[in-house]
Amino acid sequence: MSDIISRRDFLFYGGATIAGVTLGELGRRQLARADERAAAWRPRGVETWATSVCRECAAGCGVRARLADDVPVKLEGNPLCPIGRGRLCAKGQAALESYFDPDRLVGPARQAGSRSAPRWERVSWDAGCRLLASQLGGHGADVIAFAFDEHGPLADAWSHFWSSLGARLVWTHGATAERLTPAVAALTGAKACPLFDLERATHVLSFGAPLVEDWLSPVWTQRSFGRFRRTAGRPRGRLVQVDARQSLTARKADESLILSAEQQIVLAYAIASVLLRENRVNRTAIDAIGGDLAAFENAIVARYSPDDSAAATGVPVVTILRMARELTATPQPLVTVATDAPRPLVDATLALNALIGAIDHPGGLFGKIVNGAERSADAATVLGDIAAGRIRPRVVAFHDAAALRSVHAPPDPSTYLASVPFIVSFSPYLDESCAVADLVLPLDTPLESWHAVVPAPAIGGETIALARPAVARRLESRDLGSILRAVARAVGGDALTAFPWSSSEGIVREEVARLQRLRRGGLYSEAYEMDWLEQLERGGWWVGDATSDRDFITSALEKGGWIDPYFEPGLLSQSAREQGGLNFPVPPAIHGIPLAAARDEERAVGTTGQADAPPANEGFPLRLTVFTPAVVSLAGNQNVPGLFELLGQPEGLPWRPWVEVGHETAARFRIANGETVQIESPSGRIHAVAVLVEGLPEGTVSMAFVPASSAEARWTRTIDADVRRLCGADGFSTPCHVRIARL
Amino acid sequence: MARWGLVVDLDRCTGCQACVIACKHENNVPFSTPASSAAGRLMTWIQLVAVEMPGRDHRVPLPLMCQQCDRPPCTDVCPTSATYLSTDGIVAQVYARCIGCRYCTNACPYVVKVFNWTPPEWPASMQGMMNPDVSVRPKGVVEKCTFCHHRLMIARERAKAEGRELASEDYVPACVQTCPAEALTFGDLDDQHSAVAAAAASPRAFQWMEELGTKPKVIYLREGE
Repeated sequence: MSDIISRRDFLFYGGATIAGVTLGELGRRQLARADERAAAWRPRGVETWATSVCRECAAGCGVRARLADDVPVKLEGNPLCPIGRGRLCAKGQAALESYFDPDRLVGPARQAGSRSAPRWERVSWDAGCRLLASQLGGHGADVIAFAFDEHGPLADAWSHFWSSLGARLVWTHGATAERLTPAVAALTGAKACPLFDLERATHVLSFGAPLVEDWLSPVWTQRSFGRFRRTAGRPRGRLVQVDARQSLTARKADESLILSAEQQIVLAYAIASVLLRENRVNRTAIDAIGGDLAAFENAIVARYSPDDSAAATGVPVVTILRMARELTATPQPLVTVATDAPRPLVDATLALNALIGAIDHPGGLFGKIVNGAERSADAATVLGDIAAGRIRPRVVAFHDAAALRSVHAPPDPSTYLASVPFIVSFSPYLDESCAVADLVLPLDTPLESWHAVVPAPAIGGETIALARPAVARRLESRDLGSILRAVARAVGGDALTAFPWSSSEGIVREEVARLQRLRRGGLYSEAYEMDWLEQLERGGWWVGDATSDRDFITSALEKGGWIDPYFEPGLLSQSAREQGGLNFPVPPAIHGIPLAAARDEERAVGTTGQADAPPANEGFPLRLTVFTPAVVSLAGNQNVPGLFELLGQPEGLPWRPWVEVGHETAARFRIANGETVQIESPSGRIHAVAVLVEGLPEGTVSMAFVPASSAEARWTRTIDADVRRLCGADGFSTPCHVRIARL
Repeated sequence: MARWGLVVDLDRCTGCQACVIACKHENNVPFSTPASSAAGRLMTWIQLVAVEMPGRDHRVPLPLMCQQCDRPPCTDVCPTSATYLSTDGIVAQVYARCIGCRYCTNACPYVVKVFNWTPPEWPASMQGMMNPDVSVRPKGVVEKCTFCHHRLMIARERAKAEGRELASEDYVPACVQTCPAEALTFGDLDDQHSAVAAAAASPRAFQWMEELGTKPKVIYLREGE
């Protein structure tokens, strides 16, 4: 099939290269969609299976592709993968649609016109790489390279390349536990990712953690949730969800409370206060670690009385008392938190885990060191600096569109990247990065790629997902290693020295060889074999997987990865002991928490009256909470019809972002369920379908974030209600106020 | 002969919809468009619906598919026997016999049979991802969940080729295979030693609209203790 496409594309683009595509957006569409003409249906028969790795988020789940005559027809989870154990989420399965995406870029191309009047020309790979090299030469310090935050040899190779040029590397963080690392370090002194032992917990108090939606490592989390709920021989796990909206997790919970992020901070400290007042903290566990509990107790008991906390949150005192008592009336309690929660809330939840003895306790919180350089830069902030003119890079490189989806500005990147003279995109899809680029050098899609990825921290031990391409290239894309090598060769000097690999295959094979030399761990295998391997290692034994180097490499790539399951719990406790005990956070005073904004809108809608300040948002009485549905891809291809159909379910609203309105607010503004409404803020206005939900406080609405794109991909362009049009420069992190009206 | 059934544990189900997309790819169910969805013509064999449950304050998500009734109302009204109860207990749908009268879609109380109002369409490049084991249904034909019946046929052939009896674990529908929360259990309901039979005997078990007497072989386990 790929041969046919290449021949016809060659003929088509031979003409296109000479003439240039001069029809603006239509030209871009032609460039991207020409492969349709060559696609052909033919019957297939021979079934085979190939191993790959899902790259739709940072979880790195193992995938098996079912091939019919070498063409992929279905993706399943890899049963040997310790993260998913044969299971796969909706986004993972939809990667099949990305491979066949009719709007995929067919090969390298350069912008012969301007970004406002695009005129695309196909170029050869050699010419494309030389063009990029000519832009990079001597300008390393003025280059910024954006990429989705992944770890592993391929991500390291990306870093090596740009670092050798002196470029700045910027990462777009996923919703992984790594975001919580600074708070863990502050409490325990360990620069470690938290591991939440959800599966073995008996009671979970969750502050906004989307357990059943998209948290940490989604397939692992969902598998753990299922086992937390029901495992033979154990009591059913109880879930209490404190959330900013009536999320799916809140609906699945045994009890849910709808509170703003600020109110959640108060509630978390109020529960801690009750634990200390009633002497319910696990003093045995805390004494074993050490720490100045008395100072924390003095501060928190004085500042967070149940009465004051109840007044600030609206949660009755009896409920606060009960929530605290429930936490200590269960053998294995756990407190979880959203990865994008404000730092004071993360600090409070980690402190709660310490108070209930959940640190390094089964069903509780563990720590895991993640190797690799610290990556603190945030793509949204850097893009904001470019937009404001605070930094003026000469060249910007986008590995993918994740950075542009994380940015808080309205969804037209061409405006805030107008000052950048040259932009290159490596994305294989017709997405936001391609829409602003001057040069596109499309990478292979995940099914076509070599993989050596460190999965996002979820399980103990050390894991790396490995795979060779599951399918042949469908179009004229290339692997990351060979593109960077060609550019490095053209740049010469340090870049060439720093990038010795000729292709991604070389990087992956080198990694597999390194793993074999470690003489520990083993290849992905059945769960009982991994347990056996861990027991052996615990006793000081190790048994190799293969008799020869070649066998090892072949097996590693077929089985989908390598794991050293040996995990020694106790890192957090040990680290805390070494630093002199737990370093409890200094709780902010209730009046220091910016609850004023919430009170302002309450006054505006007439629910409570604290008339000591003027209204903050005259004319915009509703506080907007933004959430990202689990089926929205923030890192991979968004032009996926299967996922757009899942949007707005189970409310029966496929393909559309929606706004959730409480019944009281709906009655006040005379809004009916399913009605299209206009949502307006000082920054802009959008239209969306209203869904009436239970439990959402009056004066609050919440809206799904589905990124709109200026690229012309056929399914993505059907989305125009991008909530970023409503938010200010600070994005979703600061409260946005809106008004809502029927159309 | 086995009596195939599915147990959905709503306490474990997270509403992630992995089952929905697994079904879509496995069975060549065509994609909708914003316009066709808005017109109520979304094509799915399994769909998440929000339902009210006793003891729950909020509507909870429930995966709804053909309930594979032992007394299916749809088969009684089919004038051409295009839909019938097979000896496996699976409500079959023979597309070549279907004349598109939609009596069955009206008779089904669960509203899980869908009609092809238009010819199924995929962009040309996506036609390569079709499962060769499942035929594509033309315009004017009713379709629905078959418990991935083609997988049963393949499993039977494989077992026969290997000279052994079909084992219950040889055959798993796509939705069950992918479910990340392990909320779906599938197997022979008549095998008292099977996991599905044990789950179906739970005191939490109920059938959707069981008061209608259709005797579904999809059994739900309610949330809570």
